[in-house]
Amino acid sequence: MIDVAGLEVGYSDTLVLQGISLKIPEGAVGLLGPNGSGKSTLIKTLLGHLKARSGTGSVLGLDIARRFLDIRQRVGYMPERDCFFSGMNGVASVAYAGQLVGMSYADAKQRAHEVLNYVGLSEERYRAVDSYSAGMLQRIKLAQALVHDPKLLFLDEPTNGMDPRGRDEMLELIRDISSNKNIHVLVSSHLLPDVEAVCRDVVVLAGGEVLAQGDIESMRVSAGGSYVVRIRGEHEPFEKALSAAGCTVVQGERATLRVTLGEGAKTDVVWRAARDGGVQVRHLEPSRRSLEDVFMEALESVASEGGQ
Amino acid sequence: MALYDQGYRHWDGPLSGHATRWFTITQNGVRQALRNKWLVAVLLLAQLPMVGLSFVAFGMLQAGDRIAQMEGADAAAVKMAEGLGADFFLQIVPMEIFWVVVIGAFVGAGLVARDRESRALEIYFSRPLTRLDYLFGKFGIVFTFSMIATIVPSLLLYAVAVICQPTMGYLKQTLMIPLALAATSIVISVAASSVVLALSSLGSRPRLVAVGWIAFHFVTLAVAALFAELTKTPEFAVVGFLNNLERMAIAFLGATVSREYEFDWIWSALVLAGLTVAGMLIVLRRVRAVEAVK
Repeated sequence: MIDVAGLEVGYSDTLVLQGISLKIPEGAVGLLGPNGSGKSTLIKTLLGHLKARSGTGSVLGLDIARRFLDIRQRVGYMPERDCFFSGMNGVASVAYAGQLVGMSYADAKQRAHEVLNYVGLSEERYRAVDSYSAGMLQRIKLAQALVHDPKLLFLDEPTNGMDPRGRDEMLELIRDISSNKNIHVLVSSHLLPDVEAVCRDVVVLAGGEVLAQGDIESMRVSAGGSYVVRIRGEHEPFEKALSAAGCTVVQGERATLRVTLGEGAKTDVVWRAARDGGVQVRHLEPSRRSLEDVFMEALESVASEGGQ
Repeated sequence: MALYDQGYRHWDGPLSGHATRWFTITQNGVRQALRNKWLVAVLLLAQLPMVGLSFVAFGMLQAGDRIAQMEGADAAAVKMAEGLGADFFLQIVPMEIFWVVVIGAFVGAGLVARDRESRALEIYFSRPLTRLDYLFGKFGIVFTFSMIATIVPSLLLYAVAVICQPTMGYLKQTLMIPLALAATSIVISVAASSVVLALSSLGSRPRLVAVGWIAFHFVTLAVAALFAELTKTPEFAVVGFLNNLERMAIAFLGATVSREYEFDWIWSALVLAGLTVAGMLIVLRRVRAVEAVK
């Protein structure tokens, strides 16, 4: 869907994207990173708003340097900041966004009503957008991005300024768009739960570099041989037996233990420790990290590399 | 019912080509602007000078009839062409320029400034639009209204003058006047549109831009008058933006050059061309995509 190689982008003296390379697959993909990590800059470069100093890239097979107008024709973009066509009402605003892609006035108007219904702005469609609340502006930006039925949506901080209920509804919409409407979605956010809620894959950016990328599920499964164990019986002898076998044990949530096996060890040691400690193992599964753990580990690894 | 259950249908309709994309901006802008009743009033008021001068032209019909009876139709046509000639039509130009300034403040001042204020440029440039499309689109809006305030009253006045004549001789004698009036309207509208858009792109508060646009005329006219008077050099009139518009109208119509415009029209042409090009370049620079997304 998106392919980038050695992309360097900056504003005047500042280099924001430092020669990043990544392949973003189809479906819902999260672009995760702290503020200033280069997420918005990457999106703007993919849309042709910013020129790359070096490197290449393509979106839906179209070169970002030469065919940015074709890309914008096929892509819907929801900007991060509040922006609107002043003096227009909701329908006119969305219809105009459609006309700017080349839709006829009649088509754009009809389509505007449809997408405004879809994003939950049917009641406020005839209100001037200048009077919209922050949450309503987020929805109308989504409607404007959807009006021409794009193949791919770039959503830059889509839940910015929304109340909890509005945020849930927005995430539900994004999930529906990506999973039921066959529209690929790239969600840029610094909010990990948002990305975790709607995306299958993630790209972690920090300091203009790609720290990690891949399938969220496989990233969450600990690579370090860590397991969540729940037992019936005394914890102490079991923990001692595990420690003796070279495992690290920490208390987890809801009376569980997080057991990290020693180098080259297998789950046999858990069963042996249970036998030796006289306890019954009721639950044993690979430990899964939250996306936050993955994100923090990636940041720490970069920090430690930088410190060396 | 969940929001998304209200349905989303894919759309696969026809899309127009890129070449007419600027026209969409113009069309939409004109439609939006016409919702302002004050603007409609301004456009109607801009026709008043034409109505007033039409009465003058109509009054001359009596004189034309008398001359035709006394000296014949050809002599009457020649005399009427002198009376209702270039100098007569030149009278309407300053009034048209005044209304173009008013329209610039009403419509042009906010065209780019409002987009900057509401950050609409981010939406524009997320669409398949170039900066030139945007510039031409916005230019088209203020140009359209300026032309309504210039070419429409000019040509209507000419039509009244022709209709009031007893013979077709007058039409033959003054065939170049409508062309000169059209050229004048185009020059006024192009130059004014370009400059007001440039000012609009420099600000993000439409009202301040409108004040700046009006102040620009006062200041340049005052400076031009001051230097021309102090140095007794009429060429200093080119400092006044509006003076150049009037000088070009005199040149196109071939009207009598008054004392304050006794300099070569080519200077005015150069000043207006320079301001038009500079204005467009300023707009292009100010609405850069990078600026839009910063």
